[in-house]
Amino acid sequence: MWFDRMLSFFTGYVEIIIRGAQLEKLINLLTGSGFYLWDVKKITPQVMTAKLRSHGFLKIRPFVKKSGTLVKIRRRKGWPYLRRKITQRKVFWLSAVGMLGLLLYLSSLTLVIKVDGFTGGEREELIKTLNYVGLKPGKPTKELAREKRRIERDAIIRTPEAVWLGINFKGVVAEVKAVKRKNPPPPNQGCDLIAERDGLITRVAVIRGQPVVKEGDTVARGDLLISGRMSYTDPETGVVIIENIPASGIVEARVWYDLEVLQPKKIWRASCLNKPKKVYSISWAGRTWRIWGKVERSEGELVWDRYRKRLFFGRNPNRVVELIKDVWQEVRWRKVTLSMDEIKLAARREAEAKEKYLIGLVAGVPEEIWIDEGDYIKLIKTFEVTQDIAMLAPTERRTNDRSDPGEKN
Amino acid sequence: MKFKPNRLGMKLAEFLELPLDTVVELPKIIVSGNQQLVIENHRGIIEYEPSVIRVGTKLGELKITGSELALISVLKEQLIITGKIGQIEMVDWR
Repeated sequence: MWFDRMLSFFTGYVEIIIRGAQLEKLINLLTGSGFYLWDVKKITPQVMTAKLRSHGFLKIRPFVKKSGTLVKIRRRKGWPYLRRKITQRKVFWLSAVGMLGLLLYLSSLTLVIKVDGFTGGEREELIKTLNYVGLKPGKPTKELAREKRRIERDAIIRTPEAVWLGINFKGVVAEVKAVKRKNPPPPNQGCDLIAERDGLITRVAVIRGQPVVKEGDTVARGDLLISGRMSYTDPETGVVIIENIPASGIVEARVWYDLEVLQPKKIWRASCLNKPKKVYSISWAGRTWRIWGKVERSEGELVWDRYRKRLFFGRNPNRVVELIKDVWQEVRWRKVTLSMDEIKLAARREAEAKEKYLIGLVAGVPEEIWIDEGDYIKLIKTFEVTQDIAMLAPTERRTNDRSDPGEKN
Repeated sequence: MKFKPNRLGMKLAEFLELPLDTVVELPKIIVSGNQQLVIENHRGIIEYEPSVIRVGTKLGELKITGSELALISVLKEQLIITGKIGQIEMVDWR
C-alpha cells in the first residue's frame, strides 16, 4: 500500500469529488478496469471524495458516463504539480540553495570549543592558550584536524598545569580533554634546589629555604641555588639548630642551547627520464590485488612512491580496505656538488624545523656559526632562552654546600 | 448466480496443503483488531455508507457495520476498510 502511495506521489494524483446516485457503481467499474482508488470517503449520501492517479483520471470519462455520475477535480497533488509550483519561485530556490550552502559551510567549521578537566580561571587560561596556538572558533575543522598534533603539543608546552591534553573533533565541536597536574606534597626530608643547566641568573623568587645565588650570578650545572638547610640560634639556650626543609622557589636564568646541523656538500640527485608509471591496486587484510597498470622492475633505476586512500575503515584496523597508487619513476642518479648558498639554505631550513622543539622563551636573534668539515658544512645556531633552571636534589647528596661553609656533610 | 465449487481444485489444494484462497479464489478476510479489515478476492462494493459497507464475494455478501468507515484502498483484488468496526456479517453465504 505504501509503495502504491509513493508511486502515486511521484506520478502525480488528483483528489476528485463524485456526485450522483450510483457512486458504488462507479467504484466497481473503475476498480474492475484496473484503476487504483484510495482514501474513498463518503461525505453525503450522494457526494464522495476519492484519490486517483493523474494518468488514470484522463481515462475515466466512459465509466463516469456509464454510471451517471459527475466527477470534478478538487485538488491536484504529487511531485509533478509540486515541481511546477516550486520552479516558478526563483527567489525561494535561490535562498534554499544559499541556505544549504551556508549550512554546509558552517558545518565544516569548528564553532564551539568544549574544555573538560579544567574549571574557572584555569579553564579560561587554557582556552586563551588554545586560541593562541591556533584552535579558535570559526576555523575549518579539516585544517584543525590536520594540525591536531601540533596544537596539542604547543598547548601542553604553554600550559604547565596540564599533564596531558587531547583534542577530538565532533561535528562543529572541538572537545578538549585535559588532565590536571597533581603536584606531590612537599617531602618531609630536606632538599635543595640546584641548577639544571649552566646559565646567568636573571630572577630569584624564594618560597622556602635560603637563597645562595642572586641576580647576575653565573652558575654551572649542579650548583646550589636555594638551600634547604636552615640554621638558627635558640634564644634561650644559645645552641645553633640546623633544620632540613624542602626548598622551593623559581630561579630564572639565561641559558644557551646549541643546535647543530650537518649538511653534505655533495648529494645524489635523481633526474627523471620519462613519464611516471602508475599502478593501482586494492588491499584488504594485508593482501594486495593489482587492478590497473604494470611495471617491469628490471627497466632500470626506479624511484617508488606509494599513496593510500582508505575506502572502508571497519572496526578492525587490520582489515581496512585501501586503494593503493604506486608511482614508479625511472631515474638516473647523479652526484651533484651544491653551491654554498644551496647548502646554507638547506641547513637553515633543517635548523628551523628543529627550532620549534626548544622549550622556553627564545630571546633575540640566534647566533650562527658555520664550520667547514671537509665533505660537510656544519651550522651551529646558538639560542638564548630564559627558563627556570631550578631542580630538586636531596640535601644528603649535596657535596659542595656553599650555604654554610663551616659545616661538614 | 450459483456458486460451483471447483472440486478438483479443492481436492488438489487439500492434498498439497495449499491455501484455498490461492487455488479456488475464495474470499480471504483479515481483521486487525476493530480498526482495519482487508478483503481479498472480492466482487465489488454493493453499498458504501460511513456506518455500513456491503461487499460482494464469490460465496455471498459481506456486511460490515461500524462508524467512520472509509475505503482507504480499493483495488480489483483487494479492499482495505478502516474505521471502528462493530460487526461483520456474512449474508446468504452458500
